[in-house]
Amino acid sequence: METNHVRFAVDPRTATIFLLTCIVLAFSGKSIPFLAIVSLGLLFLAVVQGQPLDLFAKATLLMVLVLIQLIIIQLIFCREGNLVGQWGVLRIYDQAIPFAVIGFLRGLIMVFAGLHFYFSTTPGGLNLMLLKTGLPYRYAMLAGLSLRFLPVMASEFLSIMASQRARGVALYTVREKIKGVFPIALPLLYRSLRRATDTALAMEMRGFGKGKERTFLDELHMKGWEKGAIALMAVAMVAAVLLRFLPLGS
Amino acid sequence: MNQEAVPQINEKKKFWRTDTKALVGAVVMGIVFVLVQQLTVRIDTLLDPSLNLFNGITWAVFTGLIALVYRQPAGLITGEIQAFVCLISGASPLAPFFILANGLGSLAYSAVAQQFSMERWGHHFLAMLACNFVGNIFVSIGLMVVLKLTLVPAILASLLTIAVGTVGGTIIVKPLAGVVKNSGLV
Repeated sequence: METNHVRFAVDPRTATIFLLTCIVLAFSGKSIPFLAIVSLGLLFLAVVQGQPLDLFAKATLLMVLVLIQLIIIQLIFCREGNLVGQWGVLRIYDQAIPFAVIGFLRGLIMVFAGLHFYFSTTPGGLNLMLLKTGLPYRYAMLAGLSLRFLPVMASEFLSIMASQRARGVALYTVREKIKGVFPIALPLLYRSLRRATDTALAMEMRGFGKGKERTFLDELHMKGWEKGAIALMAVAMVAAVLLRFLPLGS
Repeated sequence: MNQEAVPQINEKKKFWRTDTKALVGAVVMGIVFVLVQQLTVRIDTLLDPSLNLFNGITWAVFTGLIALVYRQPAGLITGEIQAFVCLISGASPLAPFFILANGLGSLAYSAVAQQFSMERWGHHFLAMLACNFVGNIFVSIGLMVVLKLTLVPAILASLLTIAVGTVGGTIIVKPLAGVVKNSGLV
């Protein structure tokens, strides 16, 4: 994760509704072609917006590992559809593979939608959006603070991993990774506690939490096309929910 | 710093702590939570993604530790920050379900911890059991909705995660809380 992560800045309200729409579509989608089209659409959008495709590729690879294990689990436990084969206690039903693929595609949509949100939202914008909801600013700024701290702490995490590797902690096999959790997590925990203390002190020295109201340099501005996009996304969400829960389509 | 608002870990019957250090600490720990989970998620993905064994222990440790050290609403904030960062960084397909699992798991831990001195292993075990039970209810729903698991494997996976998370979390949180307290950073 980079410090300047935004590739295609949009109003945070638009980004949030886009994320929600993707989640609703993923949950309500029951067919493989529909979920595959949504996944490919998100990937296409990432290409058009110039987002770092290596992160999307890594996420897809991780989800492919999940798919392999989902197939195994579904082959063992799935009891939906017609029986296609039986070996001892193991009974294979024809819906096992489609269920695993649906699970994989739903997960992929969530992951892609999350990455889209990250690459289109600034920490300041997120703070302003939460303030608009009426949340006190002491709490509203925390989500934005998490976006600011994510690359900072990720870099500390990588530096601790590099230091421990230099000291001989191997992290290649599963056994080594399990053994390596403590030597990495404990220094990171200690550093993060120290950083939290320093940051809190610096914030209080600058008057954080002194007054109930505070002003901001920036304001949220939603462009015309974003309003149209939000309307379309709202329609898509309502349609998806209706199709999922009402017997309108099969 | 507002010293009056900074409690000691063993100070009992104090549920809320809203000083800046607790709020900022909650955010930073939420991110550390996600980063440590990047290690454990990979281990779990290689073993079995539906079980969440190592992830479950990490979840239990961070949820318990933050609820003990920074109390509420910091526990809630850490949980929600972890779910939010997990969602936007594409760390887990189950991330939308972490929003409820983390929040209610942390509240369950604090509610039980409120009743005890938290000086005995049994106190930590009970708090951790409540936290894991509440949190894993939502994770099992996520396993069924997102990963399309049927009821039996989802419940089996959750029961195993509850058992491992409760035991592992108890064993790690009790000494770790003491170490964090002695570090003088909370």
